[in-house]
Amino acid sequence: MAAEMDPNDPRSLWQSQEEEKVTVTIDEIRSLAKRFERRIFWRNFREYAVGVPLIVLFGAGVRSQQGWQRLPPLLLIAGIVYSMFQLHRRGAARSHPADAGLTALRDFHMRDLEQQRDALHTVWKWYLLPFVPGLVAVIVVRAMSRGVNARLIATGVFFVVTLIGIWLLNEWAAGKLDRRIDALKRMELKDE
Amino acid sequence: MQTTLHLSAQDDLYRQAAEEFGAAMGRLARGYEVDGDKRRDLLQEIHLALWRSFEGFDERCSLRTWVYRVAHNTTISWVIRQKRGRPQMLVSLEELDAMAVAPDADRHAALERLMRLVQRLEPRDRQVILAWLEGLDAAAIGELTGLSARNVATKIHRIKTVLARNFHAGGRDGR
Repeated sequence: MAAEMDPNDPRSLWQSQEEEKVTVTIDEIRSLAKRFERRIFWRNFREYAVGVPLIVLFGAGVRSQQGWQRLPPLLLIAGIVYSMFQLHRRGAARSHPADAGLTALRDFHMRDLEQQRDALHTVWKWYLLPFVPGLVAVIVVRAMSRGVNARLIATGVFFVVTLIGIWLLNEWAAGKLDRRIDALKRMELKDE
Repeated sequence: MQTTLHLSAQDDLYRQAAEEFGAAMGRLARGYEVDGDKRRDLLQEIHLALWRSFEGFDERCSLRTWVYRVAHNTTISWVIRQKRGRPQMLVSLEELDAMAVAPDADRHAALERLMRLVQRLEPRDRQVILAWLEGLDAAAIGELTGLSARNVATKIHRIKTVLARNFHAGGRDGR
C-alpha cells in the first residue's frame, strides 16, 4: 500500500492543525519583554543574593582583623566578585543572541552546545580557582596563628572535597554535551 | 523621535511576521514540546525572540528565512536547556524508517502519529522535516539550515520514504 501513497499529503495534514492561540499584539509582546527583563533581573539578583551577604560577612572580617589576618577575607571577597562577574557575563550572553536570524541552524546548534560545554569545562578556571587563594589563605593564616590541629585539617579537607566535587559534577555535565557534539559531528560527516 | 521610528519599524516587521508565520510557529513548538504549558512558554519565547530580532533585521535574507531561523534557533536553545534536566531518546530518519508501523485510518490519529514521529527525531532531522512539512522547498531548507543542496535532497527523499511507510495519503477519512 505504501507505494500508492502520496508522500506530500502529510504536509496538508500538518498544516491543517488547529492554530494554537499565542501572543501577537505589540502590547502583549512588550509586556512579555518586560516580564523577560524581570526574569533576567531576578536571575541576576539570585546570583548576587548568594554573593552579597558573603561579601558583607567577609567585609566585616576585614574590618575586625589586623595585618595578615585581613588577607583571607580580602582574597575571598575578590574571588566572589570575580565569579559573580563571570556568572553575569555568561548569563547575559545566553539571552536571545542577536544573530539568531543570520545564523544557519546547523551552525547555531553546534555553537550553542559548544558554548555550554566550554562554560562547564572551564568552571574550575572562572568559578572555582578564584576562591582558592582565599581558602588557602584561611588555612595558612589559621595555622600560623593557632597551629595545625584536627579541626584545621578537617576544614582543609572539606574545602578540597567541595571544590573537587563541584569540578567533577561540571565535568560530567560537559562530558554529556561532548557526546552530543560528537554525535552531531558524526552526523555531519555522514551527511556530507 | 528616532527611537519611536525605530521601534515602529520593529513592531511592523513583527506584526507582519506574526500574521504570516504565527501558525507555523505554533506548529513548530508542537513539533518540539508535548507538554501544553511548556509549549506555550516556548511559543512566547519564540515570539519575543522574533520581536527582539527585528531590531537587527537588514534584509540580507528573506523575511521567511529570518523568521524560521530565529524560531528554530530559539527553539534549539530552549531544547538544550530543557534536555539538561530531561534526557530523551532521539532517533535519526534512517532509524525511524526501520521502525515503520501500520498507518492509521482517521485524520486525528494520523496527525498524532505524525507529531510523535517528528518529536522523536534528532534536532537536525527534525529541523528539516518541520521545514519540509511547512512547504519549504529544498533550496529554502538549505538556506535555513546551512546544509548543502545535495544533503537536503537526500534528507527530503528519506523523509518522503518514512512518511510513505507511515501514512495513508490522507487515510480513508483523512482528507
